[in-house]
Amino acid sequence: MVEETREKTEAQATRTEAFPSSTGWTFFSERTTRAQRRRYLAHALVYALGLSLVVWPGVLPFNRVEPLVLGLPFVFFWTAASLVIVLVNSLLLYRFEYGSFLG
Amino acid sequence: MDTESLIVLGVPAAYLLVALAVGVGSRGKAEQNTTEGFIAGDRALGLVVLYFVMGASIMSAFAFLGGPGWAYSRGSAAFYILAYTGFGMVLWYVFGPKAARLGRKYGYVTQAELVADRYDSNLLAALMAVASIGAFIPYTVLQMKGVGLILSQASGGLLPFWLAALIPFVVIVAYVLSSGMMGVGWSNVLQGVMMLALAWGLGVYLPIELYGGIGPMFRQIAAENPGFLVIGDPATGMPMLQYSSYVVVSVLGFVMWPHLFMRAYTANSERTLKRTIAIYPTFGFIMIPILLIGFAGVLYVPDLPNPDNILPYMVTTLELNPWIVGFFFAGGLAAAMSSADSIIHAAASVFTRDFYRRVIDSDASDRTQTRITQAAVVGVTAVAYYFAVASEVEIVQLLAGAYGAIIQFLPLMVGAFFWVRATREGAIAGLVAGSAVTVYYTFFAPSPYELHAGAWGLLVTTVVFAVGSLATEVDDVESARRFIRDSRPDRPAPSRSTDGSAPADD
Repeated sequence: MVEETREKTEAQATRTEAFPSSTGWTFFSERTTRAQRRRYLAHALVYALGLSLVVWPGVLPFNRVEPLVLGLPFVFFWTAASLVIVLVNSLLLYRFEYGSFLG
Repeated sequence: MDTESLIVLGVPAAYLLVALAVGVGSRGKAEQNTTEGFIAGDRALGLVVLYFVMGASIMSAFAFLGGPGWAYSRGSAAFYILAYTGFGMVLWYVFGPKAARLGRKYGYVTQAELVADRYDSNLLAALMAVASIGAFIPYTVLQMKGVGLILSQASGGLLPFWLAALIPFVVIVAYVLSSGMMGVGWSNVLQGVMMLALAWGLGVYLPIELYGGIGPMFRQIAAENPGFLVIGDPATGMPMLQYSSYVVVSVLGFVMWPHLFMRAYTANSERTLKRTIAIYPTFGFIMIPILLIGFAGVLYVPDLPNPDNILPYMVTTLELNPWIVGFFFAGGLAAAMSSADSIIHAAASVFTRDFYRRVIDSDASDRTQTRITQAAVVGVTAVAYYFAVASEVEIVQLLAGAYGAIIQFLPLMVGAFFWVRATREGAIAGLVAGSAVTVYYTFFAPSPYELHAGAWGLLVTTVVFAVGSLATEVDDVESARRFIRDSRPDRPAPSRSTDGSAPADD
C-alpha cells in the first residue's frame, strides 16, 4: 500500500515536473515555492545590478579620481566596493537557505 | 656566499621543503588508489581547504607578475581583474551544487563527464578535453617560466634557469603523485596563506615607503597623468567598451575553467560548497594590494621594458631586509605552484577520464585509470617543461585560443541544467562555431567594437546552440528530465523545512 502510494506520487511528480512552456526551459524545481523563487530572483537582480555598476554604462558616474576614499581613486574604491556587494548578497543568500551565516 | 644571499635563497628553499612535507603528508586523508579519491579527494574537502584551493588556484604567477604589470603599465585598465575576481564565483553558486549532486549520484569527477553524459556524446567529451589540455599546457609553461625566473634570481644566478624551473615542479609532481587532490588541497592552504600575507604586506608597505602613503601615491600619479586612473581613458590603452566586455566575459568564463569547475566534486557537502562561494570575495580583495604594488612602480620605475617584472624589480632594487626579500621569492613560488599543481592535476584527470577512457580504452578499470592519471601527471609536467626550457616554440598564444573555447562551455552548461530541449547536435555545433569565432577574432581579425573576442564567441555559441537544438530532436527526453531532476536537491534543507518546501534551487 505504502509502496503503491509512493509510486503514484513519483509518477505525479514526473508528470507535474515544471516544463510549462513548449520551449522546455525550467529554472526552478516544482518544489520551490513562489515566495522562494521571488527571493532567488531578488538575489540574482542584486548581483546583476552590482555588475552593471562596474561596467559601461553604469560605471560612468563613478569613473573619476576624486574624492579619494581610503587613499584609493574613487573608481578603484567603487570597484572594490562591488566585491562587498557580492559578499553581502552571497551571505544573505546563504542565510536564506541555511538559516545562519556560517552554521 | 654571504649571510644575506643565504637568507634570500634559504627562505624559498625552506618553503619548498614545507610544501613537500604538507603535500606528501596529506596522502592519508583520502584513498589514493581510486579515481574518486585521487581526483576528487573522496568528495571530502572542508571549508578551509576548498576556500584556499579556489583562491590559490586562481591567483597564479599572473597575480604577482601580470597584475602589478597591468597596474604599472595600463593603470585603471587593471581594475577589470578586481571586478571579475569578485563576480566570477557567483555563477558557481548555481552550477557548483548541481554538479556536486550529480557527481555523487553518477560518479563524475570532471566537468566534461557531466556535459557529455547529459548530451550523450563521447565526441563532446573529447572536444572539451582537447580544449582544456590545450589551455592547461601553456598555462603550466607560464608558471614554470615564472618559478624558473624567481628561483634563479633568488639564488643570485647560482641556479641555472633549467634547474630553477625544474626543482619546484619535482616537488609538485612528488606531492600530486603521492596525495592527489588532497596534496593539491593542503599545499594550497599553505600557499594561499603565504600569498595573502605577502600581497597585503608589500601592497601596503611599498606605497608608504616610496610615497608616504596610498593617498599621496595616487595624488602624485594623478598630477602626473590624470587619465591613467580613469577607466577607458586613452592613457590606459583600453577603451571603455573593451574594458566592460573583458569584465563580463571573464565573469561568465571564470568557473568554466575545468580545474575550478571540477572542484565542485571535492566538497564534503553542498553547504561547504555554498559557504566557500559566499565568503570567496574575501580572498578576492587580495587584488587590491596586488594592484597597489604595480601603481607603486609608476613614478618610481620609468619605462621598464617588460612590465611584468615590476614587482621583482622593485623588491630586488629597494635594498630591503633579506628576510623580506626571501619571503617575497617564496611567496612568488607559492603563487605559481598553487596554480600549477591544480592545473597539472586537472589536466591529468581530464586526459584519463575524458580522453583515454572515451577514445582509447572504455573498459579500463578504476585502478588502471588512477595509474594512468598518475602517469599523466608526469607526462603533462614533462611536456610543459620541454616547452618552458628546451623549445623555442612560443606556445603562450595557445592559451588565448584554448581559453576562447573554454568560455563556450557556458551555454552548454546552462542548457544541461535548465533546458530539456537542448540536444547533442546543438551543443556540438554551438561549441565548434563559437570557438571558431573566438579564435578568429583573437588571432586573425580585429574584434568588432574592440570587444573581448570571447563575447562574440559566446553570442554565436548561444544562437547556434539554441537554433541547433530546436532544429533537432532530443534523443531521450526522459533522460534529459531525469538529469535536470537529479541536479536538484531531493529534500528540503534542514533549517528551511518548516514550510515543507525545497530549498536552494535557482
